[in-house]
Amino acid sequence: MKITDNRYFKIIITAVFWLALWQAVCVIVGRDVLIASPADTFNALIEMLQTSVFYKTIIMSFVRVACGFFIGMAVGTAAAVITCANKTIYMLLKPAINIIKSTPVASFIIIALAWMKSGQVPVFISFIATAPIVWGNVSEGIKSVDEKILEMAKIFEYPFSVKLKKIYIPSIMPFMRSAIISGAGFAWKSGVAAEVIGSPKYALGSKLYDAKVYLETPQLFAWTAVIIILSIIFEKIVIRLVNAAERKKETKNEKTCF
Amino acid sequence: MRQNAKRRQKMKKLVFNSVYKCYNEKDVIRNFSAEITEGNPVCFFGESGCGKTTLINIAAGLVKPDKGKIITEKIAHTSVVFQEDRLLESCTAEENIMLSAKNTELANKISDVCGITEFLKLYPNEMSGGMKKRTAIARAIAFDGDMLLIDEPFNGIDEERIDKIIRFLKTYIENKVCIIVTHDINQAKKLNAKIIYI
Repeated sequence: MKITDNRYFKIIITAVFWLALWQAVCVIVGRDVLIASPADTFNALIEMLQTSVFYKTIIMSFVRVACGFFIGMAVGTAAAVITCANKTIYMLLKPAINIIKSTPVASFIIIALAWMKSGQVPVFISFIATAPIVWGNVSEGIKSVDEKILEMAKIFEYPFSVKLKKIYIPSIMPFMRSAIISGAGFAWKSGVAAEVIGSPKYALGSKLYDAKVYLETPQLFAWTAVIIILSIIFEKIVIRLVNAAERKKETKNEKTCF
Repeated sequence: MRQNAKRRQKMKKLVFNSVYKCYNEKDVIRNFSAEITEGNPVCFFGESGCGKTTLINIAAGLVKPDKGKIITEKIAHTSVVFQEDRLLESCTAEENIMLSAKNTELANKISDVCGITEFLKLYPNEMSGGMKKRTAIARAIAFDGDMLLIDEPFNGIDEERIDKIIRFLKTYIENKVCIIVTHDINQAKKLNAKIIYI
């Protein structure tokens, strides 16, 4: 195997390229306030890692986004089931979901700040960002269920639990998976945006805003890096949860019947 | 005579009474009438597209006739062997059968007759067309409905296996209302089915 085919080698080369480009832009711009160098950003990150506030901040933000995301998943899925089962409810809910989809997140954040405490706004906004995506995808999954298979289930008098486990869930899962991946990303971006505007205590968005106000550009870059890393970790955790659920289902399927 | 009439009253029965069905403004079924009683299997025979599967779907209650009536007596459950198998892709052959099975002993017996024991753990995407057909037949028999509707059941199954299944069916349908749709008139004859040309 060539060294250029090695996965880690590729990662290192890519990282070195982008760090070099970043450093080059820094040198060309020549103003620390506008763009922090990779070294300054790294030092700022190391300093942050040594404070307890850093850990409180990431835990609180993580919890807020995760809460909003999981509530969005649950509500989006339930809404999809209800709207697919009842055309009148679909007709009534569809405009609301379209409005939510096309309204800028900033508008929701400002409105939500008038309704609730600043610490609750990121939860609400992550929920608002996730639910329509999950609703749309799960609805597509439900619609993709083969009518002929449903007829078969009717003939052989499958109970609802069997229809759910053996027909609906396998059809919905691929759609759910893509909803989870895009929903997780949106939940993070929107949740942090809500923290920036609402500035609750112990929040990544608040730290981002403070760093900008006090012209602490290395901190601003370091917090941004933390947000990106946490977003990736969150997405990976959620995908692992989905994979684990699917594996559990497959293991159950392997049990013998005769 | 009176005893015969009484017996007929107690029998399971399916009646098509002047049934009409049209698709895309084209009459598929026109004024179709037939009475099918238990133990007297019937074979719908005719060219492709003449409405045989539509009649099966009407009998199963999956399609409503545009005009006319379907009368059933003493038929609570219906088993169907669909033309397109309609197996659950997320389930093995065994699970597909057992999810429908009302009678485990019968499920075991028909699995043996259909030779499913060789591929119990296979998923439909791992099966050949014949294997899927055999699983679909076993599923319908294991459900053990009062009426058995069989739509082109033997495509892709070898002759020896078809004979085994037909031998089993001959006894099994003695107390069932049974309709079979097939292109092979010999299979209908082997089942002692009355042939109705559509």
